[in-house]
Amino acid sequence: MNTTHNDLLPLIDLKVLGRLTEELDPRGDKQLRERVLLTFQTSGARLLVQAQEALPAGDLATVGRVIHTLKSSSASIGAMRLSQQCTLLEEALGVAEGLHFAHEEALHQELKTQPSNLHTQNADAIKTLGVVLQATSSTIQSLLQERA
Amino acid sequence: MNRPVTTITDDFAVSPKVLLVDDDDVNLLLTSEALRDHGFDVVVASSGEAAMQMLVSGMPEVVVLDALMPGLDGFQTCRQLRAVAGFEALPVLMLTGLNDDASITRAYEAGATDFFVKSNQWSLLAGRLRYLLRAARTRTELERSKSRLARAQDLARMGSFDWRKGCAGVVFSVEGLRVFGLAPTDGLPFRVLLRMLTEEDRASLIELLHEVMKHSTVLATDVPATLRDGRHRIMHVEAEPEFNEQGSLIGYTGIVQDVTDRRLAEDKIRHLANFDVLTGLPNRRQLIWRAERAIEHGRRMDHQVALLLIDLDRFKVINDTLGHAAGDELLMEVAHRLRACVRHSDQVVDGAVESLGSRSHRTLEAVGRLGGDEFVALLPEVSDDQDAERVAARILDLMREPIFVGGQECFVTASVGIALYPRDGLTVLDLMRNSDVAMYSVKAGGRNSSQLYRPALAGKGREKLELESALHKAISRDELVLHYQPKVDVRTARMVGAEALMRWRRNGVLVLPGEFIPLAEETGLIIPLSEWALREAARQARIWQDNFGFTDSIAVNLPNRMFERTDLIDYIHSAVTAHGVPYTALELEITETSLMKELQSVIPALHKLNEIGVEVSIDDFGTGYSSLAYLTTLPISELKIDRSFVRDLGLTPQSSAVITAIVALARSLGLRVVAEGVETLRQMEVLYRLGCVVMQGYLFSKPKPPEEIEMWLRETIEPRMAAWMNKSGGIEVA
Repeated sequence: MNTTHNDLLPLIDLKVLGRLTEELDPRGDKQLRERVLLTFQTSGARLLVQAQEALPAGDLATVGRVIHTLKSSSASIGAMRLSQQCTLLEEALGVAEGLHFAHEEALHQELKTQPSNLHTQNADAIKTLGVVLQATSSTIQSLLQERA
Repeated sequence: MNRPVTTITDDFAVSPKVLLVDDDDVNLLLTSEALRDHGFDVVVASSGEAAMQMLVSGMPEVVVLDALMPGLDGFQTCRQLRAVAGFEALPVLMLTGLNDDASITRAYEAGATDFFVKSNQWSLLAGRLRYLLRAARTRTELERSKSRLARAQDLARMGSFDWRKGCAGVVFSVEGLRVFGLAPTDGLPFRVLLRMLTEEDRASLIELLHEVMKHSTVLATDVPATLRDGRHRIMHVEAEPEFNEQGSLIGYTGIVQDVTDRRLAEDKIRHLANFDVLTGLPNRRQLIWRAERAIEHGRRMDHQVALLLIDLDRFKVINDTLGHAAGDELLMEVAHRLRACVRHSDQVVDGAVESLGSRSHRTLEAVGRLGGDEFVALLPEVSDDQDAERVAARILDLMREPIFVGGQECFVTASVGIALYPRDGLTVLDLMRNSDVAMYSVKAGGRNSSQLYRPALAGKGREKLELESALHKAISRDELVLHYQPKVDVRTARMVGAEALMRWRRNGVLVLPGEFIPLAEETGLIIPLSEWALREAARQARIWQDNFGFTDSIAVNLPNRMFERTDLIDYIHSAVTAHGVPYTALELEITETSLMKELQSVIPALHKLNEIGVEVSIDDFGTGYSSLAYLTTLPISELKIDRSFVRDLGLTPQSSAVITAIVALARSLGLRVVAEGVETLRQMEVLYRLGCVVMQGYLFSKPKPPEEIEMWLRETIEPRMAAWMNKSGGIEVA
């Protein structure tokens, strides 16, 4: 695991989570916080599996889309470190914002023809992503238990 | 559309339904919660496929699509959704990443209404959705009002068009094209449009367009056009100029409407108001209008105007005998002939004649129908009396030909009165009145002629008019009375019947039949007069029966016209039953002349009368030209020798020869003979010697009121006090 500045980012930014509940469930009667965290746990795990499966098959388009989704949902709930990890992976995949899938076919080709060392790098990056997701998930777990 | 539509407000009555589609569960949860907080009714789908499923079951008011999703992505979902009928205008908001220009372009290409950058700023999203909803509702309203307008325009056969300065053609709306009978796909280039017009209309339209555009004024005109399918329609075109900010003309926008039906209805109304329905000639209103214009012109240009009043002679007789349908037929034929007598023009209805040129008053010339059998010929310019008289002569001449109506040949004559402006009157009313006076003098003088008005005529005509209107009221005012003249059998010196003679007690003066019966015949009043006489005679018969056992007949004079009426028998029936007397209490007298004139149409009535027991007497016998052959077959009972033969008895040998012949004829046919107008003993003696025993005349009694007849019977007959009684007694019948 690299010791880059992203270690400094919190696994869960409680301020973000606080703003979220403040805005959408100020009285707390909707249990929004719990529902969002649970939803994130479930969908995050599902997305990671999707990415892990798509990568060996060379389906980089799916990998990219999944990472993109994970990036934005993690940012939403304040899982800042995970979000940043997603950004790094996206950059590594060469999928810049604004490119997305405008030329999906061309992109697909480009991704497919990446040299194999890049392929290995991507696999490593996804592993890292999995670890961060794990960590985030256990933080969430403790947050949920703390509440309960 | 320049004006804002203000019917949409931010206050939505119910929570707008939003379909939120995103594969990111977290975002789906957060966004739906946020939108619910903002008053939306949110349903969610986590994939494009699921969204399409949900759309089938119910339609949201707005759809929010995440652009990037596995499977059907936002763009594909949007495209599929747009292909579903009914979803063409559903607002779709595409959620894209920040700075994702390519997705924005793709979103619009896929048919998205708008895009929005995905973020946690949900209130902005809610605001955008509200804006989309408002726009959609505005759009729906607009669509609706557009289709309403289209429908309204269709119903009104109306459509719109636009013309932009610098553009070659006029652009018509679909409805506008339909007005011209064209499909939405058809174009209507200006030159094709112009080709629908006649050359003349085309030229004046082009001139009008130049004029209107030169001054940037409003265009409003009616154009007759022949459409591609050959229909002739009248198009109303109305257009207003449009200006840019600098105030210079940039084009015209307007409507075109098919106003043919309205025009036809208007024309019809105008025609009905101005023309006689039966003959198609100008009516009284139109004639007066024309005459007023003609007089106006005459005054300005200093020339004379002639007004000819044409009244058919004895039209009422034709109407009464042949029926109204035949009468109408005759009037139509007369109208047709009269039309040929003048330079009749149907053109002018109203509007300014002055604008038509200096000889324009010529178009006023016309024959019109005032009503009934009265016509008018208006000659807008005549140089002298002879001009007008020539036209009158032509009219009389054209009437000479027989007219076939109701399967019968009719001979119609007319009486024409002529009045000239300014000599005989300065107003239409004066000319009408004075031509009427002149016409009446023609009638009085024997009809079938024309007469120029002379002031001397005025008194006469008016007198006659007054007489006519007074006679109308005579029956209802109880002014009529019957006087009776006895028929006497000189052998027995007894009354064997009486002739009823009508008198009119007018303003305390007794008017004799000679003064009003011809007028009554002419006006048709003779019918009600005769009916009254029948009733009155029956009433008198009853009184006499009660008073002195009268069982003879009272003879009532009837015109031949009465004999032609199918209801004559009904009248007689109701008259006798009303007073409880037998049919034989009444006898009918018809003059020989009128009997022979209409013999065929009178015969059926004679037979019917004979059947029920009402006897018929031939009055004034010997003056007409009876065919003896006919006489033998007629169901008649009595011949009355005309008074002229009686008067001449002893003066001319012919008269006694005639009387001898009549008596012989009557005897051989088994008819009674009555001598009228017996005034002297000598006449009585001669008649008696010639074989005539029943007589009537001043010698015995003048016509008297019924009470006086009774008195005469009591004081003269019964006591046998009269001078003639001694003379007649004992003379043997020759």
